[in-house]
Amino acid sequence: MASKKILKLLVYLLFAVLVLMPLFVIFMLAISKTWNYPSLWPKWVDWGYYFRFLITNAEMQASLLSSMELAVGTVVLTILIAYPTAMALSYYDFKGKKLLNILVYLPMIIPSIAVLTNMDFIMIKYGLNGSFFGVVSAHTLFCLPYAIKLLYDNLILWKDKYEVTSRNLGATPLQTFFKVTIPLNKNGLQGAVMMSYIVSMTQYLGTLLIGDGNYITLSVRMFPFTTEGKYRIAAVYGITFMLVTLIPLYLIDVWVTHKGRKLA
Amino acid sequence: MYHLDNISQQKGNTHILHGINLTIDENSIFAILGPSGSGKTTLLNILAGIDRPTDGKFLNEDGQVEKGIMVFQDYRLFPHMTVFKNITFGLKVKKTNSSELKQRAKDIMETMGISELIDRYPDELSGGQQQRVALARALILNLKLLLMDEPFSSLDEALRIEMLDFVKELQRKFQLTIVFVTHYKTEAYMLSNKVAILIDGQIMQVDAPKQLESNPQNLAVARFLGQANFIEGSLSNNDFVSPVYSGKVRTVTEKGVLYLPFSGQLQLNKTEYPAFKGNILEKKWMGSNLERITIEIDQKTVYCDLASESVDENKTYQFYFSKLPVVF
Repeated sequence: MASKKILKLLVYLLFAVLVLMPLFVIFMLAISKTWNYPSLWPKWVDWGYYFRFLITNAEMQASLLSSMELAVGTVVLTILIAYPTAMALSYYDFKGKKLLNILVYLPMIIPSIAVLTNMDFIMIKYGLNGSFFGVVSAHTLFCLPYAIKLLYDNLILWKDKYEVTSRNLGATPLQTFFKVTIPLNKNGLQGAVMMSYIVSMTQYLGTLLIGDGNYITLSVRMFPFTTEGKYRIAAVYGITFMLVTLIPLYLIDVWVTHKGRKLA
Repeated sequence: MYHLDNISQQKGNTHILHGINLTIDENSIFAILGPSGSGKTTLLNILAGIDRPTDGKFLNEDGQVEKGIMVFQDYRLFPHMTVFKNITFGLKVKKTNSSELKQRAKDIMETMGISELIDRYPDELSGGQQQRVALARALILNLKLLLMDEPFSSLDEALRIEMLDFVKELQRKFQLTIVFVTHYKTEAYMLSNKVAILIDGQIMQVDAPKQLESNPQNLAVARFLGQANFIEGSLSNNDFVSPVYSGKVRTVTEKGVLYLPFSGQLQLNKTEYPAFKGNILEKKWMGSNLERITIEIDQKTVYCDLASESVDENKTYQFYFSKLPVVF
């Protein structure tokens, strides 16, 4: 019994070290003034550096705004496309359903550089390159497989039986969607929103290629700092990046967990 | 009066319903009885407006397309809503004002005996309570036509009888027309005095329960209703020949199957229709002063229900038909 407990503790510890260690290093990098090899710990720590940088650096603020704008736009567009698709796949039988099921996962299967190069070509053709909609559509393409899968897995639990009941009791399709479908599908929706938000936030290549440099998001700005060895600034961006990702996710989670009845 | 006017349903290449024509009296309970897969739920879904038929219409007395409110077999109470919210859902989507909504909910919950469940969620209710909530959710809409899909199949025996009586009481109180489908004939007989038999998407017979049992119109109905001996033999000009019985019969169809229901057809008292002489192999008590008798005739066995202690085991008796037997 005791050995089992120790083993469990060790596994937890290993997991914590693996996950928290990189976070700890990033955090230390962000607050350290000098931290050179072979020192184990930084020689000088400046707790206010991160906040000063966040408040005063206009580039950082612009990137933050840009990332969030694109992420919100992507979440909205992804849900608008993924919801009806997931409903169609889980509720109805139709010709071409199997093909649609495969098509949904194509952005994950085909190498992203191939998808984006072709997408860029199309965007240029229709004058959408460099536009907000163009970049959001590129992000959406990579979010759709996750969002559709998460929504589909949740919708298939009950299929359309409660929607049918709602319609029979006199509700309109719109009332049914907002009063029955969404509340019952809250967990799937939460997953889809979270995943889309994260995927959009971490999009680097798509933003650069389709955005024509008009959208310098956090991930786009972070990348050169890391490659050029400017770890301190990269760490500040990294922490900001984590915060703007984790805080909304936490808020959505709190909303889903505490509002209404917990469902499958 | 409600009219089902030539209703057909086809999905892909499968014909589920074939030209259903029925009339249903208002303020009555009408049962649709049939085996699993016969198209009962499909028909009910059409009456509820959930499915659209490929052909035909469901009309009310004024010739307008009608739609009933359904109580589903699995009740389908919204799992994310309390009992109160479930019950008032139909009123809420019709934007009924709050005070009227509350009053009507209070009234219906009192009628259904579920006032104390107001804040509970569906997963905190028993099967019987869920059914009452589902009924309340439909009845609060002041509906005329209530549809019930296998309403009692998931209830235990005692609760089933209680709910049967309760539904009858509701029908009288609210002057409802109730159409329900079931594959349990006792349920259909106890609740309704007009039963339609639906087999393979076709209405085979519409009759009172007693008439169905004594005069099934064809072999499919007779076999579905069960509780009968089906004896194969040959037929020529109303003369039937088989190891169990040979003699005059009434021919309905010419498949050569003698229909002998367990009860009502065979008796010991002499009539003008002698049946056969048989040895009593076994007696089983069936309750209500009835025994199921196993009779052996020329190495064939026939079953019949007789009053208790009418016969003794291992003795031979002459049996008679109460009326001329039917051959399908």
